[in-house]
Amino acid sequence: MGDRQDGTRAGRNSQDEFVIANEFATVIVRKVHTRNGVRLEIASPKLGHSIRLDPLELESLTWQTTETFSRFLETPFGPGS
Amino acid sequence: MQVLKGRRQPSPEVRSMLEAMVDMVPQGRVPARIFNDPEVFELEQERIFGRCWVFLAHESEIPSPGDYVLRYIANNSIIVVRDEEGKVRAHLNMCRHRGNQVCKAEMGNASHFRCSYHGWTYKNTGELIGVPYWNEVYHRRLDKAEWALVPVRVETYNGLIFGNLDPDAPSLEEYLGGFQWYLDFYLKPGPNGTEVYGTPDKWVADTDWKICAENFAGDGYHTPVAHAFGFELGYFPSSARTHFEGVAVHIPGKGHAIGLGRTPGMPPFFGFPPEVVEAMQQTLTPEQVQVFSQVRTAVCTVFPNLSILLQPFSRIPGQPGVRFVTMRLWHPIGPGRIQMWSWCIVPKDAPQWYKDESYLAYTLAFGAAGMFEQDDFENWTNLTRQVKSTLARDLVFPYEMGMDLEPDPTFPGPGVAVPPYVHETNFRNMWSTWAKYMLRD
Repeated sequence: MGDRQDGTRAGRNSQDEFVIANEFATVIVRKVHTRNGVRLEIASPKLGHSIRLDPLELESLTWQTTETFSRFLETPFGPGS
Repeated sequence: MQVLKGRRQPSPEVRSMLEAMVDMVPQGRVPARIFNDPEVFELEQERIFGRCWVFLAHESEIPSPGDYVLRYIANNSIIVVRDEEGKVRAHLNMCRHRGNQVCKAEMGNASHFRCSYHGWTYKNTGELIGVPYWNEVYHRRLDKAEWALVPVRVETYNGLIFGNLDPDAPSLEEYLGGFQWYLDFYLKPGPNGTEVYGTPDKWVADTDWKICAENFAGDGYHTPVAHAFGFELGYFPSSARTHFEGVAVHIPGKGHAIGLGRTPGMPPFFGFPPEVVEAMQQTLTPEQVQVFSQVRTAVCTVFPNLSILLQPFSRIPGQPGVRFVTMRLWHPIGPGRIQMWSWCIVPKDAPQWYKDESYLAYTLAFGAAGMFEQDDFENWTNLTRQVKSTLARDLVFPYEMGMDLEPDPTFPGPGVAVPPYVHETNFRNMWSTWAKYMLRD
């Protein structure tokens, strides 16, 4: 397995990837291994956005409330919508 | 916000039929016409289903924050959801912008709902929080607080979630009016109550909801006839000879009714596993234990259209079998037409083998293709077709059975308890209550 240009390890491990969906949205969630660590990628194939979160960012999500996400969703399809 | 105003007025003809029912029903007569009539159906949508507490869901169908199911009250699609704080809420399933259906899946989990038309996005509390291009198209002037999903009143009793479209309706507690005492037999089989076994079975049938609701309000009369083979083959631990023993109870003026059938010599709490019997002796009062331990069949209707049946049933004829509980909602979708919702509920604390066995017994007897279900719907659909004929619409049916019976003054439960199990006292109260709702402007 060689490294890819984006710094992630080539090849997808299906165990590291899963889909979270309901009737409103679908995202693909996967572990992305960098040379020296790991991130969690959340991608929206429909909207074309994606984000890679490190453990500290993920941990900071644990003390958010629904209000945080309600604020995010003030633009329900992303920036500019 | 006024959700529903009773706008529809009955025609002079229907009004006079309803007014006649006030005296006629207690004297044992019910007009055939009420069981399949377009005008009666339309009036019921507002005057019955717009005012009564209507069953929506069992709490175990939405156990976690964000879990939701779609249900109906009259012709209104309702989202029943557990919000992020764990509170059960109900909203009209309609986007406030142009009326699109917000949730389309019958069940799911979401913290926010996003409409597929213009993208208006609501928290699962109903609050509108996202409006696409709010700056560009509304210049930030649209007040989001004004456009939440329309809330529907909800209240629960021991796991059952009911909704009411009438902001002025009495509380669920007052509405049930003591019938809780009987519901406990179904709903308190242990400290953690009940849970649904799987998702509800649903199908459409050409029958009127009232026929079904009446049948479950204690029509033990049809059982040895319509379901004769169930007796004869030994699926059902009763015999035509002793089938009428027991008591029928109704809550006057409320419409709720239960039939409690007994089989002489049946061991107490027959068909329940020992764990559940032990638990019931703790969760039920001594008076409830005294009454319910003797009961073979407990079949009830919570007015208007929720019915529950608890029954021992054997998958192998002649064997003791197990108890099953089915809860059914006779949801009217047109004159003489219902969408049938049928759940199996089981004691949450019962061993898994008993839950599985109970579900199999329910499915064999009362699932969509269940043997008892087939017997009933064959009769009910034929009856519904008959009563809309031009000759039948002016006829009345006799509801005289048990007119001279006296209540049992020693019976420990609320309401009016009239022995034995089989008579029409419960139905007379039910149709008097129905007429009272239908006459109220």
